[in-house]
Amino acid sequence: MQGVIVCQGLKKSFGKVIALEDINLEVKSGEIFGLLGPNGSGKTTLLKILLGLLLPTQGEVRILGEKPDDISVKNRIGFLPEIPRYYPFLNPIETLDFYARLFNLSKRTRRDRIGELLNLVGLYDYRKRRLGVFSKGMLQRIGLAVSLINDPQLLLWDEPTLGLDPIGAFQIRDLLLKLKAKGKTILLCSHLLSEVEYSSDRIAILYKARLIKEGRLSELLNKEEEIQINFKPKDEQDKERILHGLKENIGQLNISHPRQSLEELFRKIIGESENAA
Amino acid sequence: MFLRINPRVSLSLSIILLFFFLSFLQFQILSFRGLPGRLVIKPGEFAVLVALGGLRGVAADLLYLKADEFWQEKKWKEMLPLYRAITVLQPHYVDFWSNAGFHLAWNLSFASETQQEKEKYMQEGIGFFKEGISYNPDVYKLYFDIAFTYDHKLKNYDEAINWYRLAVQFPEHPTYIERLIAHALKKKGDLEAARQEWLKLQKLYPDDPYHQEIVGRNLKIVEEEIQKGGQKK
Amino acid sequence: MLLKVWILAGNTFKEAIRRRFLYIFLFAAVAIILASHFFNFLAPLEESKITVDMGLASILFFGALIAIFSCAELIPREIERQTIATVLSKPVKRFEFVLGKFFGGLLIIFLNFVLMSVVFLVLVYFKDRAISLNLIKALVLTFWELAVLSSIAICLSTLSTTTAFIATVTFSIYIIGHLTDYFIHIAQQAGNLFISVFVGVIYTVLPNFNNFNLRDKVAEGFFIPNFEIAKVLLYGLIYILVMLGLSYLFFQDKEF
Repeated sequence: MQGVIVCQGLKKSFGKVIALEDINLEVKSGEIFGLLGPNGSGKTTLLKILLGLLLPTQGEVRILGEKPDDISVKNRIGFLPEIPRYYPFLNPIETLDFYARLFNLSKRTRRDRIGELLNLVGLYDYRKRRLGVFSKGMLQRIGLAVSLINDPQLLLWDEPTLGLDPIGAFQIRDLLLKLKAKGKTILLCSHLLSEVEYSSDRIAILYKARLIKEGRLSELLNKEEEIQINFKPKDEQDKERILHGLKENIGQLNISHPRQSLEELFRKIIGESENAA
Repeated sequence: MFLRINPRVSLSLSIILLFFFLSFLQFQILSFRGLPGRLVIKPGEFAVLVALGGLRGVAADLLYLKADEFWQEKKWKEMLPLYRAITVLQPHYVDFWSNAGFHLAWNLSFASETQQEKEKYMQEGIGFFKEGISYNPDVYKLYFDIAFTYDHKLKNYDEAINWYRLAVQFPEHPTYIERLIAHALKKKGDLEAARQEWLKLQKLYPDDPYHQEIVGRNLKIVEEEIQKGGQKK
Repeated sequence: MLLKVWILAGNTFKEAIRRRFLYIFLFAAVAIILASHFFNFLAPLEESKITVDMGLASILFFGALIAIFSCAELIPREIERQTIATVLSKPVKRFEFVLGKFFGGLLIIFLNFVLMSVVFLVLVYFKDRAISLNLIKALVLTFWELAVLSSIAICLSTLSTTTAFIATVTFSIYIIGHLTDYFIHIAQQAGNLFISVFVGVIYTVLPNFNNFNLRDKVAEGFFIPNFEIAKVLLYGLIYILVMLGLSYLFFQDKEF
């Protein structure tokens, strides 16, 4: 596998509790990859392993071709945690400057980028207020800015629209597509299926520590077991003739599969897994 | 071919080596500063806690304040254990030894009822001074304290003179100590030796008019006594 | 590496300054130093002795409290509020993080130490019209003792995430570290090989804070050769390196 993120036989256990089991996953360069799963399925554990905050019990993990604890790799990653936690005694400028300095960015680059990002996330007017008084949504915006401060090649975003108002959520969706257009790779964890459906190229579904589904969104959402044929008959006779001669008239027919929503797929897969368990 | 050691293993080995070096260094430091004496403060004394925190100087000061209080109240016997503790805590502060020895040799002996007890406390006082000298051999004060006690309390002028002579070895001693030697010789009855001592003292401190005046006056007194035939053999 | 350590240390220092709770210890120390001026009228000791003793004692005691309470919570606080995840997701090595916290803590201690020392030296100068080099040496030894104490707190905080536990253990080590010399008396009295070896190991492993009590001798005017002071400073430096080395081992595989 040559992807930006590669997991082979990944297992993580905390004592007797298995958080991830036999995860084989590949995230390709330039795509938006959605990672779905109910609470406790292992999404955050996987993210933490990718960041080197947790160590795998078994298996191999590569991120941008290196092990997760490789420092050079972290220069090219941007991380947004599920609940952004930053130093409450710093203001947005100081926060972004602190993290930017950890990337060894020059003073000029820092200054330019901080201004740009604060405008992007809509916090320029609050730039001198301490984060300790920020709302959840504002902290989320700061988190987004922090994750982009180093202009990363790979973004790991956990619930990026959490705490944002609907307009903010739309802005994030648009931002995702813009970032993809710039060639960035994004691993997106979210509970909001509509959000993942809107932006992701491929998805994976985790359930009870296992990866139970993975693939291109367009393929997964197609109901393969059914065929939907759309045609407009001239009259009743035409309709009968077409139905009778269906196989000979393939060239003129528009055959497609009915599409289900991501929510329908998700529910179906989880339901099947629960029954199997 | 070279051996690549796991960084954690090499760090662990380095830490162990550093502990050995610390042990060696500790031995070196200890050979200079010495071990502290055994703590003899009663449990319950606040000073114990203070001392345990490494604040020995403050602990000694607190105990000294209490000892001073006992002295004011003439509780001599309660005062003694405190002085023991104080000198254990700060053995290099000479005044503690000096005060303790003084209280034993002078105040406790004065307050004692029998002659036997008086002499016992005087000797204990001198013992305290001597113990202080073992910690502070290069300071004149305690030598002087012993000499003064022999001179004025025990009337043992030979011992007094010996100890005065030890005290004047140290450069920062007060000038009157040399004069006390001459006085002690006179009190002993050796007027000729006293005269010789005063003559020697005339050559010392030529720029000190006060010293010269006293020496001159006393020399004259001794010479008159010799002339009157008061010299004892 | 040094740059990142400096950035992290600066951030740690900034937080402590803005939090202000350590000012309580600073004010208490200054109050006692100033109050020591009045004790002199109670006893016939040299006037400056009590000022020097209480001044040095206050700086040591409150400096120790500042060292313990500030350093014990530096890493656990980051773990508790999960800011550690955002920092370690950046190109920061774990050991750089630990060093940053240690030096940040040391900066906090140093600032408080300097403030207390200035008040103390001004008071001594007011009494004696002079400040002896011996007193400066005593202060240097005091600061070094605090640096060793803070390294112990940092090391323990890489093992445990409970601030109260870390502070309690560090404080206990502070007390025991002043008693280790007395263990030798115990070993001598016991006359048992096993006890002697056991005491020897404890004596080596635990920090011997009595070494820094050369400060008391210096304050009494007892001449300490610079070479002997250098040995004590070297002892402290090696102990700090050992604590930081252990911190590296404990923190490297810690999971968050």
